[in-house]
Amino acid sequence: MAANPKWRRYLRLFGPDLEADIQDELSFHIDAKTREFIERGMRPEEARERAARHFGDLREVAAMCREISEEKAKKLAWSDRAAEIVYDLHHALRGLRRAPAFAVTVVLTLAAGIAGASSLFSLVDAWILRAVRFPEPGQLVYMRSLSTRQGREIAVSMPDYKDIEARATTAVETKAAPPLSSLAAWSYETFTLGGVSSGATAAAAAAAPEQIEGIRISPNFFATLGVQPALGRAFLPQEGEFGRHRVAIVSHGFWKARLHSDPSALGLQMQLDGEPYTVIGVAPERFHFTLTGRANVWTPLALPPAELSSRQQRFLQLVGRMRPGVTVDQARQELSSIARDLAAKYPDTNREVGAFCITLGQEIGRHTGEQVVWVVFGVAMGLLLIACSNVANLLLVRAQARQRQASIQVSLGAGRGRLMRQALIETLLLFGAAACIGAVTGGVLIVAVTEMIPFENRGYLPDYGSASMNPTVFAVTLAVALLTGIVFGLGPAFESTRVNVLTVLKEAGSAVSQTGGAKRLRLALVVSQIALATILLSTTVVLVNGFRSIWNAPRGFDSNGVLSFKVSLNEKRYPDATRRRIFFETALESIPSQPGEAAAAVARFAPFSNETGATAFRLLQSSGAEEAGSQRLPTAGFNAVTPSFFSVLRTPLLKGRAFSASDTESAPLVAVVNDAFVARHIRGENPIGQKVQLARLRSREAEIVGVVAEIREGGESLRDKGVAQLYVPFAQAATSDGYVLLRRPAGQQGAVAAADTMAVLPEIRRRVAAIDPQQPVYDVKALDDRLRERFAPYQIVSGMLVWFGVLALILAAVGVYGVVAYSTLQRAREIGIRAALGAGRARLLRLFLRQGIVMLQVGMIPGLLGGFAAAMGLRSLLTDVAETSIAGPLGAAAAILGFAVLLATLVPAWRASSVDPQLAIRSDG
Amino acid sequence: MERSSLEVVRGTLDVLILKTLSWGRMHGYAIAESILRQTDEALLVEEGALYPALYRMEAKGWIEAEWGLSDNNRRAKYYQLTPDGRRRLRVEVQTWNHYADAVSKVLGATSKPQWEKS
Repeated sequence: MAANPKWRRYLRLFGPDLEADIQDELSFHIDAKTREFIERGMRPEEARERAARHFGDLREVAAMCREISEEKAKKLAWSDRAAEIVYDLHHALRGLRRAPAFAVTVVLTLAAGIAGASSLFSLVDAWILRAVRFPEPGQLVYMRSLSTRQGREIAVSMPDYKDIEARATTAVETKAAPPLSSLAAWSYETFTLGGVSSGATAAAAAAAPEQIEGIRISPNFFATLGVQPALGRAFLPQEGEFGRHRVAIVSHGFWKARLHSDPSALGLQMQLDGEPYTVIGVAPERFHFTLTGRANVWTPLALPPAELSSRQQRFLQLVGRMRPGVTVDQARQELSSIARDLAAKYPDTNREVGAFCITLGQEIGRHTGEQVVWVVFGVAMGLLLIACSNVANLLLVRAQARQRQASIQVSLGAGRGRLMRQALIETLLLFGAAACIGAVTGGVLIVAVTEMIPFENRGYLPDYGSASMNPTVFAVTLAVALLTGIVFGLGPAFESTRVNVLTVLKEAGSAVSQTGGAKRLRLALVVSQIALATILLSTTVVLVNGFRSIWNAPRGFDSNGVLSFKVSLNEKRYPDATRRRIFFETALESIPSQPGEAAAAVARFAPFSNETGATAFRLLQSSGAEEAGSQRLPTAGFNAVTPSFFSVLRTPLLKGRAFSASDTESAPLVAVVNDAFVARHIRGENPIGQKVQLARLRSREAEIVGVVAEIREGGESLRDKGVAQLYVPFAQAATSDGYVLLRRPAGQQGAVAAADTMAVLPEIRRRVAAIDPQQPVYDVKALDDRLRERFAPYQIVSGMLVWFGVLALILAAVGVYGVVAYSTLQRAREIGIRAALGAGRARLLRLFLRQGIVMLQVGMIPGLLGGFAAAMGLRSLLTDVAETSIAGPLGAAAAILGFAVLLATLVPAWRASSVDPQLAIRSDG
Repeated sequence: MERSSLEVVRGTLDVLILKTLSWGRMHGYAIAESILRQTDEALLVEEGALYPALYRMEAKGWIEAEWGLSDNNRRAKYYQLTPDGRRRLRVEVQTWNHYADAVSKVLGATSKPQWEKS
């Protein structure tokens, strides 16, 4: 028989190990029999074999024995056992009540660690690990084209999509199986929703026009994702043909809010951009394709035949499903080779166009801010580590304090199992309390974080950002914590039951618990806590500093009190630039403005509206030879604005003039550039009077008449020298889409609340409706809110980091305090003697201060190194974070932590030194 | 075993074990050996019956078990009689004697019983 593994004996802590006992007993029998046979002269192998045979079916006998024993155990009076456990519970509670500081500290520390780690892990799980909530998510890939020249992703054109789909999903005889089973395309679309009607009720058709977010999809879109509409059907292949495309699938939310959850909604007619679309399906309630935000209506992607063949119109993004067993790399290779073939076939449009392909999960992660979430998660795990080591420390101290009591109990006949059970119950009580508080706090934390996310941003998170405590995650976190408890709480308790009673009692209690090993272990724990806290704190400070620099950077304009909304003119009713210009000019005139300040402006693009324009340009009078040398034209940001744009946004005019009313449609084209444009493209020359040719305006020439400050939007313009920008008068380049910016008339001083900014909205709607009742006003937001949405992720993350950093600091301080307080307790008599011999308080404090400084040094040096490495890593990881100095934040973190640690050292030392020496000497520790 | 031995009749195993244990505490192997020796190797106690019987009697409270060290320093489970077990032994022995008397009277008869016809 194989010997029992050693660890099994620990199972006996939880009562006799029945199975092993039966095995032991039966194998003893066989061994005895074997020996008897050997004595009778058999060879050992033969003897063993015969003894085993003689015994018969060992397993069956063992099973019978076990059955009998278990029945007996069941019969054993339950009340006896319950009474024992209740007693132990009382005992543990009494013990904890006698040490409230210990109990509260352990529970709160653990709860903080558990709450932080489990809530963050739940968010990681909901937003990153389970970001793709479609069947077989691993098979889904996201695809776009890649401009190999510019090294950036670009959209896909319709004919390219058709070719790629045909090549990537159908088998060619000469080649292996195609990598994809299907490939779908989508493009964003904003629809003007005119009204919903069926043949019977045409009443709804009169509703005010509204702008809604929609998506045009290839008919196989839902099938590719593996989703079936909850009601109705998906699109048919022939509905992708122009002319048969007037069908729509609506989201579950749309169906509920606008179609009143009407099960017979299928077949209703919906006016989209003035055309009747038939509702043929309702998407499942939880369907959410995060990349498209809060889209509510899906219609087939169908282009008029004239536009079908243009490979230059790139507006599609693709999502594909790989065949089982195909890897992303294989798919990417295949797509790249298709792109190469297309480039060879259509060099005019597809030269230098490659394929970009990553998993759908990765693509969603890029939008979620995956890296930032992971970083915060890392910080939370660090916090859990600190909490665990803190608790370990406290439990160690507790176990040693208990040693003396335990040895007396043993000497009075208490079983070791019973002592162990008491320790176990105490630990479980503490962890149970911590788990409850941690679960509640963690749940609250998750809700708080998701609530902080602005409505718009939530559209791009899986399941609209909703997340809840994941029970599995919570269990894992709790298990990690519990492991600490068992190793550091029960381990020492187990050891303490082995101690020789006499030695413990002879040592009079005080010295024995300070065994060298335990002391070293506790010091090591504290030192690693300091190191971890230093890393956490310095990372936190570096990150928060970086984030602050993003949202606190000078913007080049004043967003406060500015209302912005978008108008998209119907191109059929406003077919030319003049009519568009007249609409917007009339709108501006009808909007009330204060005398002396132009309060309203129109711009093609509003700052922070997630929409930006760009144009290639050529400087005509520049002497720059390098411009001529490169074949490629430089590009700059583009915007068409009315004269009041700069004054409404309060963007400083640096040179020349802004646009004026005289820059009319018929006047010569003029342009205003920003300072970044001057710095980058017109070095050292006077920009005023230079001529620039704009690709976007059919290569018309514009004369630069003014220079304004840069309007900075993102991290990009913070890192580099800035983003070059060109402005032309809206009157000279009127578009059908435009934003109206309206500064709330200045009256009161100070900041204007977003609600006040929005107050004028009903009046605006009335006035726009007076000009054209069919023209909706949408994307209405205070500019302040646009900024808030853009920076919300950074601010939320910063807030969390600050909390975690503060917690780490507190926990490290508590850990140090605990160790120092305990060691002062241990040395109370020594302190008393020293005081009695005339050592002043300063001298005594210095004694402990030295200990604190040593701990600080040993912990902080690796901590600072780690913090530095982490900060360097973060800086390269988080490209959005502006360049910030690392040394400053590290120093600050070290100073804060150092202060906290020394304070935690001095407080218990001060208390110890104020005890009457006589009392201290008499106490037995 | 090569030699044919009588298998212990079901129902008598308990009393054999109780009696064996009345001489002092013993582990399972020793009990089996002791019965075999005492009966001059006539009665073979099968392990498959012995251990379940021991566990059953332990559950009934007739015997109690305790781990101890065997002669060659191995951990072995020792059984001993409880007061209940002793009482049980007395009852069982009486019952057995009555039974054996009765059976041997029948088997030892030399003439045909007279009352059979009526």
